This record gives sequence, structure tokens and C-alpha cells, in this order.
Amino acid sequence: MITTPADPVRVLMDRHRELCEQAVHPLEIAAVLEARGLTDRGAARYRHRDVFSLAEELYARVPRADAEAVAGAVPPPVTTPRGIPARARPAALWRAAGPLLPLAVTLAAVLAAVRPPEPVRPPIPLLLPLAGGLALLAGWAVLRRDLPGRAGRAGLVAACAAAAPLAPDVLPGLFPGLLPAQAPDPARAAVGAAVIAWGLAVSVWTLRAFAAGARRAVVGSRTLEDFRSATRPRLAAALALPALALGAPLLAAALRPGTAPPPSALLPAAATAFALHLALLVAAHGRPRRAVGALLALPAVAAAWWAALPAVRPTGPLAPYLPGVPLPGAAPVPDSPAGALIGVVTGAAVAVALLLPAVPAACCRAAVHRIPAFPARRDPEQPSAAPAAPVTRPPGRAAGSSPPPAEPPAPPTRREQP
Amino acid sequence: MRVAILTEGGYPYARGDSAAWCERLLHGLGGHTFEIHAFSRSAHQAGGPLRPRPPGVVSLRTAPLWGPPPDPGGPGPGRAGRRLDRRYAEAFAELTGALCAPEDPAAGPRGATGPRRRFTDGLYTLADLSLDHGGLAGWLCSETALRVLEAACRAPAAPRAVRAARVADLLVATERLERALRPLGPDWYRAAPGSREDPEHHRARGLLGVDLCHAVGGGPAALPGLVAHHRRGTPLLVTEYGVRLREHYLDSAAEAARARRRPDEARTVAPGAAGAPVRALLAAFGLHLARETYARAELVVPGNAHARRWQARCGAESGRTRLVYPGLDARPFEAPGEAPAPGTGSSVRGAGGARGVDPAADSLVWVGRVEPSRDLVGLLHAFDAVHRARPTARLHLVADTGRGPTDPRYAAHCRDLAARLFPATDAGPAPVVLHSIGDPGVPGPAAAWALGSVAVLSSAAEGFPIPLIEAMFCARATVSTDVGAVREVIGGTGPVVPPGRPDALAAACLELLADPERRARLGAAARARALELFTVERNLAAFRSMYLEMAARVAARRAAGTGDGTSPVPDDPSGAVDPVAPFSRTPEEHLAAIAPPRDTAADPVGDRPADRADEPPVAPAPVGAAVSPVGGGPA
Repeated sequence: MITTPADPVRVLMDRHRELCEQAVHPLEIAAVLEARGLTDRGAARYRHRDVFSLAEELYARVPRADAEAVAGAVPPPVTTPRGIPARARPAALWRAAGPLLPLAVTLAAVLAAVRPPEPVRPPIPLLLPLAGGLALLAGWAVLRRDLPGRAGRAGLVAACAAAAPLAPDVLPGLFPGLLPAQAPDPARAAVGAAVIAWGLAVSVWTLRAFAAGARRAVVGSRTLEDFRSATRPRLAAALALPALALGAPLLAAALRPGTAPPPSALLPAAATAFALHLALLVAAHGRPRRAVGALLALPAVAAAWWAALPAVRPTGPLAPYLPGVPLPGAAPVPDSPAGALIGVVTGAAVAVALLLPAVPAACCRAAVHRIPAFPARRDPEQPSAAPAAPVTRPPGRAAGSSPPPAEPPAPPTRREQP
Repeated sequence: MRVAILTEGGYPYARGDSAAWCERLLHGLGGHTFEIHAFSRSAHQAGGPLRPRPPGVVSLRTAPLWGPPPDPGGPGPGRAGRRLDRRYAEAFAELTGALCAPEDPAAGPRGATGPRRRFTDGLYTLADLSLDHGGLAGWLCSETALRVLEAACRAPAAPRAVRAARVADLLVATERLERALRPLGPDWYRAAPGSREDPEHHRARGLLGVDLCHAVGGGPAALPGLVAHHRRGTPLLVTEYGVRLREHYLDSAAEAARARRRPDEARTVAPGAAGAPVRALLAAFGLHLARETYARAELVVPGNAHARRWQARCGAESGRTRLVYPGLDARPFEAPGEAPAPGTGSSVRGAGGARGVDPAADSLVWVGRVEPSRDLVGLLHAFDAVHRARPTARLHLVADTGRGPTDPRYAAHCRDLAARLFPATDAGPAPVVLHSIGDPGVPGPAAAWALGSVAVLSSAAEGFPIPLIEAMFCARATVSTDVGAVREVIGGTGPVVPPGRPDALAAACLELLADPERRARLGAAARARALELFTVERNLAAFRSMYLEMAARVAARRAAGTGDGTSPVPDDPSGAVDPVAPFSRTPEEHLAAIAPPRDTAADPVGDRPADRADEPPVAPAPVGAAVSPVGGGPA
């Protein structure tokens, strides 16, 4: 005859301590105890009517394990394991260098147009669409990785809109009569394209760094207000770094005049690239429409400027800087910040003005910095259980048109099948 | 009658829970029209095959309960959008306030004020807003939802676990709540836009137009039924074979255990995992939802006493609870069941057996899914004792892969253990034989049970033991462990031993192996009991009568003009829904509606007697925009 201890529940408490500490409701303890084989008859040994009341006693007697969390202790920051495994190194390198792809395409196209001697040089009408298409593809490859879904598409449209004002310089026949004083200048277009591609790369790097910082802020902050105040300096850095990266060549060109490329080509391109950066930032944080709208304003404003100026005969102190006004004694200087360039800069300024107020509102929301769910929940048995189905099924309307690959499947069910 | 079947991870998906049962129900209950509304649980399931559509099923609509929200757009811009945003915030504040309330929702009777009332108010307001304006899923992913949830979690009276919520927890919680509330979103409530050549009665009327909602399982599956009940007073029938809330708690505990076992990983790789605050919030949501479901359901149908206990615990009134055992098709088990029991003299089949005795007479057999909860290790140890006492005894282990995938690691472990306990010798056949259903000698469960004379169930945990019922149909004497619903199923037709006690199991097995007469007696009693309680026919008859009973009850209540406390909301302004309330149309009205002959030669309705005109013809529905994307129905 086994003698029952004075407190039989204590034995059970010790055996299931972890469960009881982690439970959020007595019914959770009851469910697990049942799953571990305890029945109502078993509960009678602990002087309880059923498993439910036994679970209630356990829930009441074992202290919850969340005590230190209530005290406000911050969990250690997210740490990624140091040292990338050798096999992952090329992938990591490729990922880091990937945003430079459009820049590489642009530079290669420029070299191909300039470097080879006359007989083997590819004709511009062949090179241009090829380079344009490749650059577009490269941009898409870069964006779809860092801006999934709608944000990526919006980013691509924004990039196209940013590059549109370069067209008159390489496609003179396309806009006859639109640019009366502006001679087509393929070199200027090449410099502009290179700067925009460089801006795209910087922007994507910044986006990655900002996203990682925001993720750390999500884990590290207790309240939403904490999160916002932790994100603001990061956002400021995310605006300042690309500005520096785009301003540096401009500064260099201004300090050492005479060296190529001229500031007149750099300034509008840098302004455009910064507007594109803002657009990507806004698009990546849940406002793709706003990003596209603002960036479409850029070529629109530039085109309006070009279209309006020849009609208006400008006079006054600004006149020398405006196109279509040959003043006596002042020969048109191709390297002055004049003409069409002012249109582009104005357009970029409008786009920046449209986007800048939206940036903090969009990027400092915790809701857009969700952390992807638990990858370890994937059930290893699931794929092997996939039956070879005789029933074919057309893609369902409601079955989710674009299921994400990273989504964990539902936990394995414990439901009995009658 | 027009019945909406609501499932979650269930019926139309070939590997869904209760899919076979549900299909039998649809086939067996002729005369009703079914609209099926199914949630899928994972990408794997949603991409998997579907069961063929039975006749009588008018439409099938599916929606995912996984992945990103279906429509990420929120309430929209402008003043109307801002107003909607505010109304969503108010309703969500009610709901989350109830979830974070300290008071146990068990307190207070039905309809009492307090967290329960706040929960239902918030839930139904969200449902109304979502149905009328849309954009709920997008709103739940917005910053406003986060702020509302944060405010609720920081309420002074909130439980400690919830008060500890951090930003990461809030994010995960809103994401999970969005999934939990997704049943409020799908466009299921409206009638499907039918094409012109679609006869009216072939078109899906939507959940607000059906006469009865039958939810297979509580939880998310019952939520649309609750909304239909709230809007139109549509009666709700809830069938549960495994209580959804209990599964939720098991998942929750498993998640906690995983996070604890691998704290490093939980911190570095998976900050998106649900911490205690998220689990507390979701547990509260599940409990509130279960209570509301059981309170509103016209009938609650548990599949076993265990489920009934849980439902009663969550507030299901005993007067509205009907226990209906799941039915099993008895026909495949006819042959072994009616054959004389092995080892009772006349049944010696001769040739195969050692010393001229039927080998099955001295064999134990186990059939089931190979997984740790089945405790095959304990069974092998028990058989070790049996084998020492009775060297001729054999054990057949049959893996039933049709019931779920085998756990490969556990299977390998069991195989190793068997090889260690019973080393291969040249003398005679091996005492332990491993089979799998589908092997040449074992085409199906019936053949598997026929391998032995005593069926053993060694589970450490069990819900409703289907293998045990199969063994009973085969007229096998059974030895089982006292887990789950075993005692209720077996009902004295076989010895029951405590779980985790191989010695007791071995003793019971030896007793039965030594006594053919008792074995035969118990087997016959088991078969009789199974035929009485666990057949498909009985199951179908129970549901048929319940449908009629609900129809009658609701009609009577309507005639009395009392309502059931929830006055149906006026019909939605869009006019898409048939404004006629359930059961208020006479069959003649239906006849008049479809009488104008479009194509008299092909119209099957014209030939029907008037009293059956309420039921649409059970022909395959024409494939149209209304009808779901299932591959063509019966071809």
C-alpha cells in the first residue's frame, strides 16, 4: 500500500513546473495534463473532482515566469551570430554588392559607347535600348529583393520617372521643338544616369540599414513611444547619409572646376537621386502610391518648364540663365546650370517637398516594421505528406493570389478524424 | 433547407480534419442544399487536392487563414476613411479591453455585463463595420490598431502577463488577431453575383441568406455563423469532434515550450514568436469566442463525452448539447466481424500456423498512427513480458498511414527497440512483425485487425480512438489503456488498464490470450456495441433529425414572435441579400418564383411535386462566377 503524501499536488507541481510557469490560463494546464495522460480518475488521486479544478490549483500555486518581464528588464538585444560561414560568404557578398548592379550596367554602356574605335563601336540606336533595358532589369532585380510586392513595383516606377528627364539628351528626335536652346548632350545624360544609379545603390543600402535598426528598436523598446524616439535618429541618419553620398561628387566638382563631370550635369542628377531615395523610403514603409505620385511630378514639372519657357520671353535678372534667350555678348555656355537643368532641379525639388513630410510619418510607425514570423515552426513532415493528387485544382480565387514563401504552415493539428 | 457548412482546415481539403465525416454527411443528407465555406490553415493545405463535390452542394468558397491579410488596404483616405478608422478603433478598444480584463469570463451568467459583454459588443461592431465598409484586415495592421492594443494592455487592471507586452509582442498580437478576425472579412456574407442563365436557386445566397449555419468545429469556423446569427438570427449548429479551444491551448503550450527549449534561437532568430503576452491575449480571445459560440449556438454537438466536458466547462448548456458519436462505415469490417473468432475450435485455418494452430489465435495486433503519444515503446515492453510467459505469442504492429504521416524518428526508435528485445533467431517466425497498411498481406484496416485475436491500444494520450472502434467492428477482444474517450467507447467490452503500466497491459493480454471463450464473448459484445453506437447510419440519422428540429424550433419561435433575444438587424442596404427571413417562405412561393418556364423541356423542377419544390434539384451547379474555383464538380 502506497501512502499518499500530505500534499499530493506538490509532486505534480514539480513534475510539470515548466508548463505551469509558462501557462497563461488554467485551461492550458488542463489541456496539456490531459494530453500527457491525466484523466479525471487520475485527478481524483490529487483530491480533485476533475482535471479542470486540479489545473486551477496548479495555476494558482505556481508563480508565473514573467516576473522579470514585468519588472521592465530589457531582453538582450538581438545578436546575429558572428562570423559568416564560408559557404554563405559569396551569397552575403553578392547581397551587399547587388545594389551596384544598375551602376555597373550604366558604366558599361558608357564605356561601350566611347571606348572602342570607330569601326567596332556599337551604334547608339542599338546600344541605347539595350543599355536601358538592362538597367531596368538590374533595377528590378535589386528592388524586388529589398522592397517586396507593391513597394518594389512602386520603386521601379519611381526610378523610371526619375530617369525620364535624361531622355531628351540622348533622344533628340523624340521631342522636336520642345528644347529650343538645349543641344542634346549624351555625355550629360551618361553622367546623370550614373549618378542616379549610384543614388539607387546608396538608397538600397540605407534602407537595409534603417530596416535593421528599426528591427532592433522593435525588440528593444517597451512602448510605442519608446520605439518612435528610438527610430527618429536612425531616420535622420537615413536621410543624411545619401545626401552626403550624393553631395560629395558635387562638392568635388565645385571645388576643382574644369575637371569632368561638370556641375551642371551633376546637380540635377543628384537632386533627382535624392528624390528617388525619399520615394523608395516612403514606398518601402507602406506608402507606395504617394512615392509614385511624387516622383511622377518630377518629369511633369520639368516638361512643363520646358514647354512653358519658349512661350514666355523672360526678362530681368534671371534672363541669362533661361533658355532660348540669346543675349548679345553672352554666348550660350553649355556647362552653366542653365536651361533644361533648371527644370529638372525644380521638378526634383517639388518631389522632395511632396515626400519629405510623409517620411517621418511613414517610417516611424511600428506597424511597418513587423518581424517575419518564427521560421522554426515549419513542420518537417509536411512536405513529405503531400499526396500526389488525382484531383486537379485551378488556382482559387480566395486561396491567396500571392502566398508568401516565408509563411510558416499552421501547427500540426491534434484533431481526431472520425 | 439551405445549409451553410463552415469549416476550418477541414472538409473540402482532402487531408483536412473530419473531411471524410463531412463528406459522408453531405452525401447522406439528401434533400438539403449546401453552401460550403472553408478556411484553409496553411499554404500546404490550400494548394493540396480537394475532395470531389457531392451533389447538393451549390457553392464552395474558400479563404486562407494564414499569410498576409487578403486586402491590405485600410479604411481609405478622406473624411469617411478617418471616421471609419475611429469607429474601428472604438470597437477594437472594446474587444481588446475585454481581452485584457482581469475578471475571469467564467463569472456571470449569460448576457451579464462585464468583459463578456464588452467582447461581444466589440466583436459584432467590428463585424458590422467590416461587412458594411470593409477594410478591417488592413486596419488591424495599422498603427492605430497597435495604439489601441497598447492602451488596453497598459490598463491598470490588466493581468501581469499582458501588462508586460513590449512593442514586438504588440506587433505579433495584432498580426494574430488579424488572422483570428479574418472570418469577419471575406465576402461570404453576400449573395454571389450570378450569371443570367444561372437559376436563382443554384446561386450561392451567401451566409446571410441561408437557413442554417452548421459550423464544423468551434473557433474561427464558427465565427461567420455567429455573425450570421447576429445579423439575421440564422440558427447555428456547432459540431466538435476535438474541441478547438483545447487545441489552441495545446498549440500555445507547445509554442511556449519551444521558445523555452531554445532560448538563444528564440531571441536571435525568432523575435516574431509569440511570447507570454501574445499567448495570453490569444487565449483570452479563444476563450471568449468559445463562450460566445456555445452561448449562441442553437445546438452544440460534441463527438464524445470528453469534448462535451470541455464544452460544458466553456458554458455550453446541457439542454442544448447533443452527444453524437462519429460514425464509421461498418461494411469493410463485415467479413472479419462475422467470421468465427480465431482460436475457437472451428476457425483453424491450418496451413500457415505453427503446430496446426491458427497463428492469429495467439497474436496481438496494434493498428494506428506511429507517433510518440501512441506509446509503442510501452507496448513492446509489455509484449516482452507476454512473450516470456507465452513464447508462441506474436505481436503485429500495423502502421496506418492513412490516418496521418508516420513519425520517422519514433518509428526507427521502435524498430531498434523491437530488434533489441527480440533478437532474430532461426527458430520459428519473429515474434514482432511490423506491417504498414497497403502492404501485400494487409490491404486495409479490416485485414490488419484480422491478423490477431486480441487488439491492443497502448496510447498514452488519445482523443476519440477510431482504431478501437474498427477493432470492435471486427469483433476483436480489446485491451486498452484508460485514456481519452476509451472507457466511453469500450463500455465494458474489454479490459482497461492504466496508461504507462506495461506490466498491467501484459497481464491483461495474457489473460485474454489464454481464454478463447472469453475472447469470443468480449469480441461479440464489442461488435454489437459498435454496431449499435458507431455506425454511419446512426450518425446521419442524428444529424437529419437535428436539422429538422432546428428548422421547427426556429419556425415556431418566429411564429410566436418572441425572437431569441437578438433582433435581426434590418437587411443590408445593398439589397444583395434575399430580404426574406429564414423559413418564412412557403414552398409555393418558391414554386412561383421558378415557375416561369425558361426551357420547359430541360427544367427538372417542373416535374417535382409541390412539397419538394423548396429543395433545389441536386444537379451539379453550373460553373459560374458565383461558384467556387473547384475543378468542375462532378464531371
